Amino acid sequence: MSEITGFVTGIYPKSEELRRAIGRWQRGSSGTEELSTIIGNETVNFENLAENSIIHTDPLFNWFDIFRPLMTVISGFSIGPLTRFEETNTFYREPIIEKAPVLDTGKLNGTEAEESLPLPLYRSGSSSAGILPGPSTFFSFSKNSGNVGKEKFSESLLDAYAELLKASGRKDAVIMERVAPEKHALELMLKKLSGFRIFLYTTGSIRKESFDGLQGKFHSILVNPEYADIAIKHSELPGFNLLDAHNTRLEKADQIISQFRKLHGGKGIVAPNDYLDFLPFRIANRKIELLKEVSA
Amino acid sequence: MNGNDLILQEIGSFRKPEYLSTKFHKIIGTGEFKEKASRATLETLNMFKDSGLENFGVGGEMFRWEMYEHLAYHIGNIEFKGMVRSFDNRYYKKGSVTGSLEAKDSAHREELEFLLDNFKGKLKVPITGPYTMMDWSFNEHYADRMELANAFADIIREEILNLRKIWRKHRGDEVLEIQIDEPATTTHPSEMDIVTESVNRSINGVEGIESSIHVCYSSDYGYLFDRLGDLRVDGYNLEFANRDTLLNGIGSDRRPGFTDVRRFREANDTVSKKRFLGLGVTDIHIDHVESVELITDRINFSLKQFDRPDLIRINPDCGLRTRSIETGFEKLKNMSDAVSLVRKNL
Repeated sequence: MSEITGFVTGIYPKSEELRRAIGRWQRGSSGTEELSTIIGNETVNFENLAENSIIHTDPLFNWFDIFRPLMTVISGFSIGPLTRFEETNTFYREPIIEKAPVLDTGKLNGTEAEESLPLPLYRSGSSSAGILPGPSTFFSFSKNSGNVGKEKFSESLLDAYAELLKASGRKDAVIMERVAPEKHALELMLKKLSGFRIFLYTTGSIRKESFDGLQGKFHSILVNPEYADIAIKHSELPGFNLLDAHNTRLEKADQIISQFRKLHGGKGIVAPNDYLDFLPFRIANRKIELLKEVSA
Repeated sequence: MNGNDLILQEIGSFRKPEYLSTKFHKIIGTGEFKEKASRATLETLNMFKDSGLENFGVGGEMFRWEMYEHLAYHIGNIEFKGMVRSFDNRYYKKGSVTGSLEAKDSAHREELEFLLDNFKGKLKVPITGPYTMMDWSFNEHYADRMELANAFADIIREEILNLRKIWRKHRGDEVLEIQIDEPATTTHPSEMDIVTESVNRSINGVEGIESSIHVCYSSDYGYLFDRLGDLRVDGYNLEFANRDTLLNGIGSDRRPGFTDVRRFREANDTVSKKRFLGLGVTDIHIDHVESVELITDRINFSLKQFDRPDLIRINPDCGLRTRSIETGFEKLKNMSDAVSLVRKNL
């Protein structure tokens, strides 16, 4: 492994061919098998682009947002109204928490998912890390109509995640926290997901106090540069979000490397500050090329 | 009851007939485009009339494809680098601002001239607002978001002045209604200063217009209502039905989507120049056609919170282009029937 490794996770933008294929499937003019084949081919293209020099997860070409597919395999939720996703011009269906979440293993193949594409949650045969929204994020982006306690929710959700990762043959988990993870959530992650290498991918602010006194380290914590110290102290492989996933302007590899070196002298990860679905497809591809250049 | 009670209005877009939608991008700028967009506009205006609407907008925005790209195409130094997903499998073209913005030509002249030549009813021209244009663009050029929003505001102000000139030739002193579409407002609560400054700048010193702002899918209208005294628009056309239940009744447990009407009234109470409220009473993201009874309940509940029917207008949550023509019509018709019922008891 080189000193700096690229990292890309979450929903990746789709090619025009894939967008059109999904449109055809939605209109009923093509079948699930055809769509599944196209998604498979696109995933291979993505993996070829990323090569081995970049840590990457399933590009989630069959996910419309980072919560909905999980709500179809984890009971305890209903799917709420279309809601603006953070500060972007994108939308998601707000999860409505009705009771503590429990994995429904019978639905793992995803064939019953009406609100999503009827495909498995993660592409079969791939051993890349499973990406999952962190408990603090899931709770914060949901409406809690069942009055489930935050800690109870986190505990049950992480139990469901552990089972899900095991059932889908994953060794690594990317836990994405878009809001500051709370101490109880961090403790539960280390405890409930102890059998997996955890990449804690934070894209917003985090609080030092939540990490103070934690028993154990994460495999990797990825943070915005201002929180570099937390990532260095509490993980084996710190990562820094140095690419802008919300701007088409292309960074320069030498500047990224220099920024990285100012933050950390050892081995580490460079990532975008969000998943790349907020960019046009060809710009996202160029950002991946840039990550490869940084990793070389 | 007076003539201004619960005016029925459209918000903007409506589903295009296939003869236009399937060829839109191939023929735009040609004589064929003008012929098809004009025909679609007249058909939509007739449908709006049949539904009972009283303000016809611009006949469903048949001359426009999408609110962001329509304006962006008429501004220099915006480059399109590909489609960006909005939700599910729906995409929009998000431009990258690569240099100082320059007005190329009017984005709305052709549409407005056609309407004024062919239609005598009440109109309202929607224009995408400066904050949303800024927020939905990639900024590769300006120093910060305020600077970019203000650059858009200057271009929009120029466009409003152009439209007013055209308007006056046909309608004389009649007030021109401009709806500034700002769906991105409140998505960054810390940027309400940018919203206020750029929207005000886009209408600054423009006489003879009635301005409104349209906001939808906000996580908290409170940010908007807090600025009611500073934002120099005459009215707020907002989405409410999407956040409501489909159950009949006028109790607050049945009408959670409309409880913000009271917050609007409280904010309005603090200013001397009263603003009107456009009440979104039908959800444009679902095919379910809300019944007349349900819409009546939504309006009556809102009147309990803000008993000024002269300051309440009735509209769908947003443009109806996401629904079929038939469903869109049924939603508007039920909305009109509900207003007729409510007016009887005013």
